[in-house]
Amino acid sequence: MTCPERPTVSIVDDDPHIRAMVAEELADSGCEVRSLSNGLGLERVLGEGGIDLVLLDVQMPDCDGIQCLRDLRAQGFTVPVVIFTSLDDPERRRQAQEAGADAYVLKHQLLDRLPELLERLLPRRSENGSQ
Amino acid sequence: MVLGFTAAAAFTLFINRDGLLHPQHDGERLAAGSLADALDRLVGDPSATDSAPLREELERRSDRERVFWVQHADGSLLLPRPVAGEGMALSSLVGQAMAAHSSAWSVRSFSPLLIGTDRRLVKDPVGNSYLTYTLHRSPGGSRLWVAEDISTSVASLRSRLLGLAGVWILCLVLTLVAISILTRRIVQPLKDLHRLAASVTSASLASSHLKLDRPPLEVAELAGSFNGLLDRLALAWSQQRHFVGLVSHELRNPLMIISGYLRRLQRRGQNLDPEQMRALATTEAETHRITRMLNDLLDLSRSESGQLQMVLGPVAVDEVLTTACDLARSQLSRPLLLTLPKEAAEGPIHAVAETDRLQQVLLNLIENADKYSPPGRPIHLNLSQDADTLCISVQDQGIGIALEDIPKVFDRFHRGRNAIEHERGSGLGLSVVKLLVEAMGGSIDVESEIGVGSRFHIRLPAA
Repeated sequence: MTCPERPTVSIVDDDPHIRAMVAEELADSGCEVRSLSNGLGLERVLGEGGIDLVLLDVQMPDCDGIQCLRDLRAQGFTVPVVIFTSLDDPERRRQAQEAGADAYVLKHQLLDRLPELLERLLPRRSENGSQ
Repeated sequence: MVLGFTAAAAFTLFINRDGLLHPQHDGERLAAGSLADALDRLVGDPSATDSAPLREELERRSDRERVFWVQHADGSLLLPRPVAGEGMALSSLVGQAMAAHSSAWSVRSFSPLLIGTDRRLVKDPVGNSYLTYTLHRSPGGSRLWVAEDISTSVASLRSRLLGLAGVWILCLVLTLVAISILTRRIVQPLKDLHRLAASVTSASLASSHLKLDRPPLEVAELAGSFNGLLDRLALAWSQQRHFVGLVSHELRNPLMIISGYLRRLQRRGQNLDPEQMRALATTEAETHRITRMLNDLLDLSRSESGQLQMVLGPVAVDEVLTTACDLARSQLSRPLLLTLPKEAAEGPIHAVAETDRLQQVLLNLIENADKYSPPGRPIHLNLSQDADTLCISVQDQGIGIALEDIPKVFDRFHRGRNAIEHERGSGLGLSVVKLLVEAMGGSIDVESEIGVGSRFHIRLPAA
């Protein structure tokens, strides 16, 4: 499904515009994108394999991103997960770190920090020299 | 309680004394019956001038405990013949008695209350106390007197009085102990309540409940309503948090989409002319301004409601500085230079802080420097390290701050005169910076010169 040179990033957000925009940005950075509107489908998609990084929103109507991450980690998924949220609440940040998030990013900084995050959390990119 | 017991004790004492005295009176009255008859006979019969029978009767009736004598209407005394050696004692006793009865009671004396107004206490030379009073008045004006030795009664009374005083003191002590225990039972829960109320913070609202060990009913009710109040406050607090979260979410999502697409348009737009590009850049800058303002307002509202929580811990300041500079550079059109100490090459430099807040502070300061600097002038960020303090400085070559504005530069809504001429702004940015730095346990100050530039120093405790 995914070609080895292009890492696959899954973006999970209930807002279709944010999904679309981040997906475009990710595509521009050379990634395959799997857009999901909530965390419920994420488990299945991860189970299918091939996902290299997950960008996971916290506040979604059907599920809490941090709880969703906890469940994933409990089931043994080790894929890097970036929690992104509009809420700069230290308590949520702590919860996210405890749940096993690789980064906690505020929404308005996500696009600015995206290159750095991809660089850090997708080591295969540089190894494969796909940039 | 003590007063009541004192009154009861005094009353008991009074009855006791009365009881001690009266049985003897009954004995006297019996003895006195015959004496009174003899006296009346003597006085009633003018022919009988010989007082010998009366004197004999007096002698017969008088003994160690009780002495009888007669005072005639003309003031002459008829005393029993004293036993040898007691003559002086008897006459002096009678003399004292007569003298005592002819004088009035002193106003301050309590004795009449105890022994009656028509009685007097006298002491014979040996020191025995005698209670003297008129036992009988004959129609002719002669009076039969008695002096009663009450030394033993007084002694026993005194010992009972001492006993009573002992009991009184014991009761007083018991009462005081009881009062102090009762007071403590009531006051201690109130003190606990006060301590708890003083220690409640927004963070501990839900977990602080007053638990009292067997409190009195009234205090238990007070504690109950206090706990109810805490519950309602905790609920209101969580609702407000929820509201703040909701507002942040609802406003930040659209802002993110707007600024994201503006950025993408500028970067990827194929056929935009310079004027359109400039319009997009301005719109993006304004969007950033709204975002920051939203953050500032949320922080201020949190700070005012005590919700500006910091989870302080060791933060790699050099990394935060690098990230902040990277973020800022994407929006700046001027050089942003970061100088790290050489120790940074060996490993992260840690301060006690909060990553997001520190980054927010740095971005606010960089934005501030950018706003008030002529185009092209660089902004310098510098990190230096003391024994227990890290100092971050943000230096610009901008318009500077007038000397009189420097003390007010961190005041909310305050804007320097030259700042108003130069740029639009809310006057919130620097007050939020100060708020955040101080919430992280640090301090901030500024040095500046008009036309030369400003330099902000943030000091944070090293971790």
